Amino acid sequence: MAVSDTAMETAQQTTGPAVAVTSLLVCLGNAYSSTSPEAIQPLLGMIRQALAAAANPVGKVSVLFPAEQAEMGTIDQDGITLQPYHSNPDAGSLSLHTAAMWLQMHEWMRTRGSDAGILLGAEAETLSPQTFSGMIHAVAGRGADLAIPRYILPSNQGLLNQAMLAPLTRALFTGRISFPLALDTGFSSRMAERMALAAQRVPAGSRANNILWPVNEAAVAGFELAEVGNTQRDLPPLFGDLSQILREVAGSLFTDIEAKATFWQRTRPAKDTLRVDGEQSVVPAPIELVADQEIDDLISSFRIGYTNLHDIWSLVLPPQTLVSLKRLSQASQENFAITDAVWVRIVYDFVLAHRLRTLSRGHLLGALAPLYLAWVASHLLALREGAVSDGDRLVRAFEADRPYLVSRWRWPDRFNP
Amino acid sequence: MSTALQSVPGVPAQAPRPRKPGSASDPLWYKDAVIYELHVKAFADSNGDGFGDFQGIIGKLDYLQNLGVTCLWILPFFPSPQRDDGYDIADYLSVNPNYGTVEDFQQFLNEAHARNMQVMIELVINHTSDQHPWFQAARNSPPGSPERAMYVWSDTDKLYSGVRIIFTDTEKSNWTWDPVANQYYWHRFFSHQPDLNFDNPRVMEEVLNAMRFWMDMGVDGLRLDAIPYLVERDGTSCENVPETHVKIKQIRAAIDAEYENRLVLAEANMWPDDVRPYFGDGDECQMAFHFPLMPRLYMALRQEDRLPITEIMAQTPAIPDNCQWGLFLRNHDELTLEMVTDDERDYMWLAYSADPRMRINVGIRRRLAPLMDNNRRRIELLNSILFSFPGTPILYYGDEIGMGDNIYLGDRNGVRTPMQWNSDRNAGFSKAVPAALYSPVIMDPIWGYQAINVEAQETDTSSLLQWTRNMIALRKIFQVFGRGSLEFFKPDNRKVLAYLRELDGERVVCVANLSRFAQPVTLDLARFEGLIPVEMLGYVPFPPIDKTPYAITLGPYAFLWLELQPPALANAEVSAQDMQQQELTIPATDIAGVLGGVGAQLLQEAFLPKYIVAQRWFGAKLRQIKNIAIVDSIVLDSSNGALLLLDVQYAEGPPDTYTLPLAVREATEEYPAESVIARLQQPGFDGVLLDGLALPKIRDLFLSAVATDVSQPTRRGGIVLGLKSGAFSAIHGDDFLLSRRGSAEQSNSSLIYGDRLILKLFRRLQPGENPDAEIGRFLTDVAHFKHIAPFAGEIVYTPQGGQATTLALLQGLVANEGDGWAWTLRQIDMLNAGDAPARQRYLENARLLGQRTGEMHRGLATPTDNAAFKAEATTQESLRDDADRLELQIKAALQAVRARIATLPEDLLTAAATLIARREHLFHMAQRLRTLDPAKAGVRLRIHGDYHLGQVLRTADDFVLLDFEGEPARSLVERRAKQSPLRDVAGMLRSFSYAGVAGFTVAADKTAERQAWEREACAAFLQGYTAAFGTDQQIAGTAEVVREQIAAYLLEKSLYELMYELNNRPAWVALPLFGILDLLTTTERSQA
Repeated sequence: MAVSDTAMETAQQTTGPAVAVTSLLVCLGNAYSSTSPEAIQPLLGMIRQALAAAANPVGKVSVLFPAEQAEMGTIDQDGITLQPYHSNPDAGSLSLHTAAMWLQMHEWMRTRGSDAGILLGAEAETLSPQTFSGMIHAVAGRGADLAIPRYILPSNQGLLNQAMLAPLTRALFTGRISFPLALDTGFSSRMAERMALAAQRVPAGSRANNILWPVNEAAVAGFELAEVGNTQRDLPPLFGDLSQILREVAGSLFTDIEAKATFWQRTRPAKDTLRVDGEQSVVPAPIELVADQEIDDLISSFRIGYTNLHDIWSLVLPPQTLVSLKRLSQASQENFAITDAVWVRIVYDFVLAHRLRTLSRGHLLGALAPLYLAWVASHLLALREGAVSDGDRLVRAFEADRPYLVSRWRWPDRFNP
Repeated sequence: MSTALQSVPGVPAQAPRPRKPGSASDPLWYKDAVIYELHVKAFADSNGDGFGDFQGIIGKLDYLQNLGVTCLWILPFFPSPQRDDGYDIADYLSVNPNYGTVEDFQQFLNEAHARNMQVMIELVINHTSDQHPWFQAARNSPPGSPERAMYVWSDTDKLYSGVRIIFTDTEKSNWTWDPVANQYYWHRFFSHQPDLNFDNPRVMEEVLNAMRFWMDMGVDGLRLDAIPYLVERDGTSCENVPETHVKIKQIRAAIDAEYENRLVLAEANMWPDDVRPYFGDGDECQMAFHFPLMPRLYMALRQEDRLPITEIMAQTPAIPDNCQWGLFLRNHDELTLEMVTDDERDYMWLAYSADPRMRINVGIRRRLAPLMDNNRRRIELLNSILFSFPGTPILYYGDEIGMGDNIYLGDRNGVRTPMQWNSDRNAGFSKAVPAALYSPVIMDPIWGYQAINVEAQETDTSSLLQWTRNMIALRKIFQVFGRGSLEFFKPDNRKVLAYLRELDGERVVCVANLSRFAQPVTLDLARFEGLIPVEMLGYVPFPPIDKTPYAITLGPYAFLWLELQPPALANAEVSAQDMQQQELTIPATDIAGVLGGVGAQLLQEAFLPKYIVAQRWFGAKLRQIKNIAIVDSIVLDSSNGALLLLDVQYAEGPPDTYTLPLAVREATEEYPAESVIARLQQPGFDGVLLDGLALPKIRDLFLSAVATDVSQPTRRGGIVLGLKSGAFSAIHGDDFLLSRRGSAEQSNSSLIYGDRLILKLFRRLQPGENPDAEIGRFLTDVAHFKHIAPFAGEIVYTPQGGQATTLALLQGLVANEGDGWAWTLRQIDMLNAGDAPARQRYLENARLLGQRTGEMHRGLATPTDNAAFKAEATTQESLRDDADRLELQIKAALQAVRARIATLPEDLLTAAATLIARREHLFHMAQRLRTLDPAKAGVRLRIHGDYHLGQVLRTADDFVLLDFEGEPARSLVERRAKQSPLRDVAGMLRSFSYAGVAGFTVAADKTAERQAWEREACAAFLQGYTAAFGTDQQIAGTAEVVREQIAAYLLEKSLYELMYELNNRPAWVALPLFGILDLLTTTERSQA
């Protein structure tokens, strides 16, 4: 069932049919690799609480958790089967989203006959039971193939998502998912199959590191998407330097955008996304102000980047953007602001340069880091001055300037304004 | 299951081989493919032996992947004596050692598949080389032996007599005597290429073995060379015989049974109708080349006429759903002219091969770029057709960079020279010494590898290579090009080729200009009304389609691909522009910063064009603005504002000058949001640029300028003067007057001060004094005419070395009950409601209005030394001018009626036809003006010029006449000319007619009442007018001549109205149309 864009549905979980889930497979991410079954009891408690309150009866529940020694065998605990799986302890926090994981997940679901699956990232015990059951309900009761939670994060968290991942995904693929690479994901068996197919297209040697984008896959497949609740959740810190994170996350998104160019250039992003409220519908994001020094550091990083990377940026960005950046590099902290329009163009031009291989992709995404930091500084300054954190505004800016990306993609002449 | 592999009853069926999947997952992959044809020997040499090889190709696969091609067609790479460029195969199951090994081929295949590219190879099965072991065995074996039976032998060369010879330049017969075999052997091509005997089942067995050898390795497609000639039958042309189709079906069935997603492509150089059978029922070849289209593309381009293309496509039959045409511009052979008429062949030879060395056999041995005389636009145009026509495009290696040819090399080797990779030795093709190359590289100044090579074009973002890449990428986004239907448009201009591609609701309109000059074209797109064509290369939305023919102009050899999108998609583009605009700021903190340097540039280029077209007072909304420049400005002291004079230039027609008051305010201040023109940002300053009239302070400055008789220089050396009239103080009084904007914003802007004064700021300026100010001042100060808004002053601008021009007019504000039009309609409403006395009341007031009009004209006739107002006697010349003007109006109106007569409702057709039929009567009325006695026509005065009920105000018991500006569309010279006051009278009489229709409606039962009311109102008005203007013949003219003049001016006004209504309000056409016919009747009657 699709829901109109304007009439945002706030239906509670009871509005959908109480379709039973025969077998639910829950998989914990790599963050739990060093924990024992006992250590995940708080998480199991949350799951039990959610299952008890779920509108859709759930039959068999299996929870797979990572373990270096997978030989410890399965454990049944109050109707939940705990089963270790072998994980790579060196895999990063994003391992949950890799092609290898999706392939494995599909195989587990297939062999167990699971009709729904849930991937849970680090610190999932802080997820509310309502959100967990909301994901089950979206898939089982509301016919969604993919259910993604909407997190309510402090204003200074999830900024890469806010600056780039969500706006790009929403502008090019689907209109309503706020966290396209959410730590937690609910999905149907056919979604798992679709993801496995996508994973198979990744060369075998790269599957362990290659991130897949389920929202984009679902959009291309025409599957139903659901966004669940407004939920507060603790996010684990991302390790690694920013350039590395950009290479892994933004790089994989850019690659996915390239692979699906035929879709997003031809199809308007779907505006309809199923809304399932796991809990109360409106929770304002807590504002957390950042110290001057921190912002100064961000601006300094940008200025250093401007000095060192200006030549590389000149290969990627058009003169109008470069002029804006020059002005920005000379601005004081009080006047340091990167407008939505400039930021959108920067991201779109980097997406394009990634496709054209204007320079090595690693270097390209590294060169994006200082620009991203400039956006973060600008964003934090705006919040400090009382601006409301309106992620949708940036999304709208990305959507509105989508024709720019299309036109440059089709005719990537660098002789542009 | 095909016939070949059906199990035979009684014979146990063999276990079927498992079907091997291909590298493509879609069985119809070839429909979306872009095929790239290349020679192994010519592409890249990895070992420095002078021959290209598979390892060389592997090294260039990234290049091919970046180019965007999806299928590689590899020309024959088998062991061969190379007497026909490899088409003389000596071993089907191996690789020519010059090119590498079977393992190299397998590696190449795997690497290509890893890059999502399919590979098609040649299966040359009609013939072998005479060096093939089969032939050697055949000639050495006795007649009738299985070895001999592999080929076609005869004791005589008369068998199959009459069969045409294909290589006419080299072969005299299709038979060649073999002294070893003591028999003739059959060959359709060179004598060293004996034809295999497909009547021998062993031949098919061997062919299938060869096919399986390569398909098992993963080859995705086979090009079946020369397939029309497989089987020979006496008494036929030995081409396309039915048995040949049986053989092809057998090959296809074997492929389908054992492999998935593989392709068979037919080389059959035939007319489309003859090629059609090679598709069978979708069970022979999936693809076949469209040979006849190719020369016609060149012909159409040279003749600048689309007919050769549309004709051959009309002759092209439908093919099964799983089949596809292969389209190409050039290939490894000559540009074949077999599929054209003799005349067409002569034309093509003369057009494209001036040097006889460019010709070979029945064709032209040249590459694409030399054929196009290296004209980039022509190359792009032909490629655009190739990429957008129904079929799979096939590129020939090197054409993507515009490689040249070498006509001094033998056979077709001139188009088979080494690929030009860079400007290093041997064009980067090989490290061998140049003499060791299989062919010399091209080295001349124009086509040489130093000038044309991949490396240079990779660097050059405007190169043909980049263009080709972009076009391929774009084509791949739209499946409609590979799979959609084709429908030609038939615009009158045959230099333009236009067609629609459509697939599942996806529509693309392609338009190509075959001419070397720009061409206009209109397309009938009415069935797509409401959709918006979006130019696909730049994603640029074009104007929406409506019912009218869609007009497009194309530059020389230009082409357009337009995707028809629903409106919502195109709106996104608009909002994107808006967003950019919103984010754009002017780096300034005050008005001086706005008007100087970057600020002025941004204002002129980015903000003003968008702002002024949205303003009510901007009168050229339908014209395309080319440029806006600030020609002068007046700083408004202490208000951080300025009054700008803008020169607005249009794409066509003369420019206009507009006024625009501006003010800068901080963003935190209060101001109406709709008045924001731009945002200003500078460190420490966040502000806005506003339309100044939104601010009280700016409005007050205008009043103050008049009150203080200001004199202020402008930025460009001009001067602005405030001039108050003698009546100013009395009207203004002593109180402070609170200002506001007038609600009725029209072509000018009104500012109202308390209940005393109204200032009209003229928006569109014309050099010279504005008639409204000029007449207002004269009637107030000289004629002392009380029934106008009293003239209180003006603001005049004089540019340096230019003419004084009125910027603003200040008048006393008159208490009123609305304008005469609204008041009249209220009176008619009362009549309709049964208020009988209202009729008499209105007639008295119509008489009063006539009186005031007469008094106004008397006032304008006041004796004066002011030349602009001095009354003049009517002359023969002025009457002739009136007649000329009327005649022009008659011609224009009749032309408009003729043009629109088909669109008129039926009840008006007779009237319209009558009007046209009475053309002579109309001209007769104009002619009569010329014959009037000027001495009896009264005087010529300054007049109101645009007089109607909307131009008078109804006060409590009287009228005040307003707005002496004249018709704003006319030039100031015309508006200031002296004219017969009867033109104002005619204007008001026509206004009564309109009011009658608006008040009584056109309902039949009201017609008599309406006509009576109109007659009486006109009569009352004329009565009042005559009484007030007087009967002095020298001034007012004689009654008889006045009547004729009024009739003529009424006719002129009615014809103007008729044209206006035809163009803008068809529902109102009846009013002026019947008015004119009535006038003709009345006039004729009175003249009789």
